[in-house]
Amino acid sequence: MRFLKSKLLILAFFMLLCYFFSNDFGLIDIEKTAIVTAIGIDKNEKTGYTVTLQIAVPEANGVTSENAKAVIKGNGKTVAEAIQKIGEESGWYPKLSFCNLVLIGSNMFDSDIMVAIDYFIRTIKIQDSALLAGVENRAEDFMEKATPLDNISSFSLQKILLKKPGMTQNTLTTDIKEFALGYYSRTGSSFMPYIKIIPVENSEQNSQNSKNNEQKNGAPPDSEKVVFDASSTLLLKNGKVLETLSKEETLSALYSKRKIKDSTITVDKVLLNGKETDFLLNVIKTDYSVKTTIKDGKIVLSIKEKVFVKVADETDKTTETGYLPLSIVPKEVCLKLENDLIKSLSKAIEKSIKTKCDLFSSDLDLYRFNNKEYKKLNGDFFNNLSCEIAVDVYGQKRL
Amino acid sequence: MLKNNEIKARQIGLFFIAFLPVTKIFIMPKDASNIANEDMWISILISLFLDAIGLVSAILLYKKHGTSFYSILETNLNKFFSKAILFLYFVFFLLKAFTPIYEQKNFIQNTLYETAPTAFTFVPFFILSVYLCTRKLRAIGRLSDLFWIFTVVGIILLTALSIESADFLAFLPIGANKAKILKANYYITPWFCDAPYFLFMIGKFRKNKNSTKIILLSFLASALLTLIFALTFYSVFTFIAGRELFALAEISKYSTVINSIGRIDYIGIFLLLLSGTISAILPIYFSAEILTKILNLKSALIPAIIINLIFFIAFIFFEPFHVLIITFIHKIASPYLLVLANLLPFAFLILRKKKTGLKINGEYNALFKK
Repeated sequence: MRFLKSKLLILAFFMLLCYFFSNDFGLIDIEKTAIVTAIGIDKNEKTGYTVTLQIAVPEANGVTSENAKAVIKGNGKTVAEAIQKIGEESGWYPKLSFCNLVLIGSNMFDSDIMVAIDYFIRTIKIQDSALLAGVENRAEDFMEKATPLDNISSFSLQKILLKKPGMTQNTLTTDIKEFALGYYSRTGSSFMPYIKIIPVENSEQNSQNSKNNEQKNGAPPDSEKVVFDASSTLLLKNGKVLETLSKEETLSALYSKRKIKDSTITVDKVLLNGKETDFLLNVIKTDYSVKTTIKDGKIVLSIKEKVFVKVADETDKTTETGYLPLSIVPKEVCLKLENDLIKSLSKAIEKSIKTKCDLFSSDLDLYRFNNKEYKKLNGDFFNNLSCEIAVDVYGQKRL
Repeated sequence: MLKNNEIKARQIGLFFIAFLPVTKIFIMPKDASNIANEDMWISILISLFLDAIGLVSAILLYKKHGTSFYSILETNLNKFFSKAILFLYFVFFLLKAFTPIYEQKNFIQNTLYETAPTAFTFVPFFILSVYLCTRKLRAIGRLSDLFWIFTVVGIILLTALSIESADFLAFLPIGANKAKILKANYYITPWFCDAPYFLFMIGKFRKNKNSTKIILLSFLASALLTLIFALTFYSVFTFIAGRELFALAEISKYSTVINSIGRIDYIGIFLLLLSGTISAILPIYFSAEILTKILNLKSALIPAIIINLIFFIAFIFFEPFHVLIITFIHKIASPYLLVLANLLPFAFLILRKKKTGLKINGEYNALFKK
């Protein structure tokens, strides 16, 4: 009995220790905590940086309603100082652990943006897995915006950037950790999605319906509601934005960097039976291999893409009997897609070489697997780089 | 029946597994990566190898003399020299204690607290430390029996969650940073140098035919756990590994499991923090024991209070100078720790076995009995 009592005492002691060291005794009151959902960083000529926090305001009520939001700004010579000032001036303690999105305003593109991002690597208050993106104009404007379906723009942006299988995947997403890995690599190369605002055209009826909601949760009027496009990509060298990949170039680069499942892709102007037909293809899956080798003193970047597709829709009848069965893909469509992907991938690589931004980690490949040859290059990597691209599109054929 | 100041060989093995890897997973992998980059694992391997030399020397020392380290000193050297050597080890354990306590405190403060806690928040640690210091070695053995599972489960859980985002090719090419391997090895020395724990346990454990095997295999297991965690850490963070201050909290959060069901990695973190608490107390425990011997005291209570008070005051008043203290320990005191942990036990092997007139086979010398 005495033995059991002492065991129970030990157990209780460790439970208490657990509570004590986990700070469960010191939890912050939810009503006094600002749950930050996104951070926007802009350059500010006077003070250094303007940090805009988008905050989800949890409200306890019996009615299911859309999330209300608040936007708070702070200025500081550093990002950390600006965040600190928000807490000091508003009295709300900013809780950054739920922040999944960091937006960088375009006025920061011509300077080393890592100076601003580095704080997030060092602190553990914010997750390194938070998504990172550059935006056109000022990041603070994005915080104010709302989409027709989401009052909180960061929720909408996260849905666009993090697509699940089954949705069209066309963004080359990156998070703070991945961005920093690229920045601190030997070539100082990194990338991030570029987000543009697209105004929404509203019908009069929609505008009327939304008026009631506007006053309830502080959402902007429908006329100011927007949607976002994140299909292009910024290329950065040593933290400075040097080039932008178009939608097509981003997609072809995406297929060489990540394995995609259940997505879609368009193939336009395929000449079939003397007619130009446009197709929407379902991408069943993609596969890729990227290798960097040295042949005759030249660095060769070999990229092979495999894309497995089936027809989802088309603009015209392509057979005499009617539309194609869904899984059958005409040879011409496969060839056109192969050519489109090769063309846009070549352009992406050209931009990557021009800006000396190592988009496909070929420098790292060479360093790891061909270190002796790598050392002989003495840093002259991009001037010796050429590429070989092979894209194979597979679609089911008729017997 | 075990005496209060005795420990089983099995418990020594579990002691290695429970408490040796856990102090090396907070900041050590980050600092090793910062200096040696992808060759950090070689630096860690060298440190583990040096520890193994210290451990084997201590085993051989015990096999030769069959008694406790205190007895060996007392019977082979005069009182002054034996006390001087004990004093050197007392300083050794004090130097070894600072980093793990500071790491634990810093980690808890930064990861579990939203607002800065007061210095008194950590008073329970020192109370627990004083209490443990007054207990005999048997208590440490019982704790080892309990905590080894915490350490093993914690490390396996965090590693398993991290593997998905790990790039194990990041260690290529091997030996690219040759010049920095030894530099990193020198800097991380204070996290290792664990052989003296065993040195002060010799003559206090029940020897059987498998004792040596158990002790060596357990050390190997603890080294493996340390290495696995460090390798996973570097392969997750590669180029930024040297900038990630809290390896423990960061390593596994990129897992898709965590993204979908939340931070279950904190279960592993808490298990490691619990083992880490005891592990951080161990150098204080041994330093208190040594001070008790030097001062010929009957109880370790006074030395325990003095040492813990020194650390508590140091953490309150010298907090702004912690970088200076840690830099001193890692850059200046490293050779001192290395010599006492690995070279001195090896050198003691030249001491001749002397008859003390006391029963020494399997029993520790009555002169030093607590």
